[in-house]
Amino acid sequence: MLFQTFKTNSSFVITFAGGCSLVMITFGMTHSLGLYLIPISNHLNVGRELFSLAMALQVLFVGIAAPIFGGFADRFSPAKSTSVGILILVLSRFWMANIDSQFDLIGSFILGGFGGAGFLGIVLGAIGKSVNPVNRSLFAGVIMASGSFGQFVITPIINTLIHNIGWASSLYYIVYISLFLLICSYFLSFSGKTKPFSKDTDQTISQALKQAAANKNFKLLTIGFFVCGFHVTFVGTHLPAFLEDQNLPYWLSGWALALIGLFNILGTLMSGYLSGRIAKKNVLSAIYSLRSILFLFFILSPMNEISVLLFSSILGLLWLSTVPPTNGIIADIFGPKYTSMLFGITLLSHNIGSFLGSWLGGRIFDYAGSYDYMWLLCIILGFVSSAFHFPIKADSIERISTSQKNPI
Amino acid sequence: MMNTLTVLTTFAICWVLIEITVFLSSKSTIPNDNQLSYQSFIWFLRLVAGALLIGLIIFMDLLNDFDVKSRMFVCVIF
Repeated sequence: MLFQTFKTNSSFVITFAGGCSLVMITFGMTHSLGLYLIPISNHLNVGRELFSLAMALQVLFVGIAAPIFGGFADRFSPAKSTSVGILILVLSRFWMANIDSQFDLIGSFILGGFGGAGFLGIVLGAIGKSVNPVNRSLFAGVIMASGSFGQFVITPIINTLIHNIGWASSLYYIVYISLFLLICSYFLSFSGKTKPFSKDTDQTISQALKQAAANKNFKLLTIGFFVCGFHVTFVGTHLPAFLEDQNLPYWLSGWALALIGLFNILGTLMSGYLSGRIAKKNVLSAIYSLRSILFLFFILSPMNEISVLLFSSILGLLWLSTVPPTNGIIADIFGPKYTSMLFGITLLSHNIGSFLGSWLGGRIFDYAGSYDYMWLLCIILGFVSSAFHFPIKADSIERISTSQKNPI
Repeated sequence: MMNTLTVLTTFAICWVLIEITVFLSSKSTIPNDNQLSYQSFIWFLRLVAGALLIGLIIFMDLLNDFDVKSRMFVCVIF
């Protein structure tokens, strides 16, 4: 039974609680950064473009640093890796609270991206090693749901702090919360005490990287994950503006985004559950196809309250639901040992997609005066990604290791 | 009030989709003793969904001056 793991393995319970708390708080804090757009832009007396650029660079650096932190976690320990990340995050937020120039803004965000990288991949990797492979995706779904819940809960708290004590002081609270994360990080060290479900090989990081680079299935998965970032960031960034252009009621965009958040939690749980029962590549193909069909229906259907809220709710179900099956496929193919690092590489692709989705959305709107081309691009990319995932074979491969290369 | 009714209608339609998807997936696969059963999962999901919906309605009604749009400025997921 699934719950047997909780009953009999207290080390796992501590690791799981620490991992979920870590993801929940970091997701919430990262997601709240948009609230600083206006106060920081006003403080520096610059336009909004600079803050947008800083945010985009942060996303990109999360992607760049994720494989590095993932590799560090796989080589040493998840707790050490996340602790280093937390300390960098603390420095970046402290810097951000004391910014005086454009350089400070860009620098603190890049540092924040570097520090915030890989928390999710590391936690997914640490938990994935300790659970039965058939339940790996379900646990990944619960971790993702806790992150989504963090976005849901922590953002209003930080918003209240900004309004009550000012944006700079609120950042000091973020620093204190980040220091609390060190305790959650310590809980992750219990992952070494849980009984692993699969035997580790003596494969090195460079061997794992070479094997992944030569693996067709990993390449398809990485390219496909690019589209996830592209879709999600385009919609998250430009949906409110798109709805305003349609002359819909003022309350609608707020509710639309709130429903995306709510159904995102349910969607990640569902995706984790379904990935344990259906082939994960089929779950991914279905998610990307459904996104494209949804976009198509949305732009063709008349814009009213029901159509917008339905679109938001269904999109919420498909929002981050790609993460549990993507992480699961990596663990299925390569085993759990280097999952954090390899997931970090797919995350880099995802975040390049995020960068382009956000930037191209604005660029195309400025050029064409509407989002029509961008919706069309999203539809095409969704079907392309679905086609990329369909031929993936998630069978475990024989891992090349030092002992195999140099038999005694 | 009208807003809440519209949201509840949308939620109900989506919930039907969720129930159908989870039900069909459980019927089309062979149950495994190591996995969470369909009944346990769907009741867990119903509880989470109910709690979130109630929380969301209260939150949106009480804090209607809160600028939710600013939350989604850039969807940084990690």
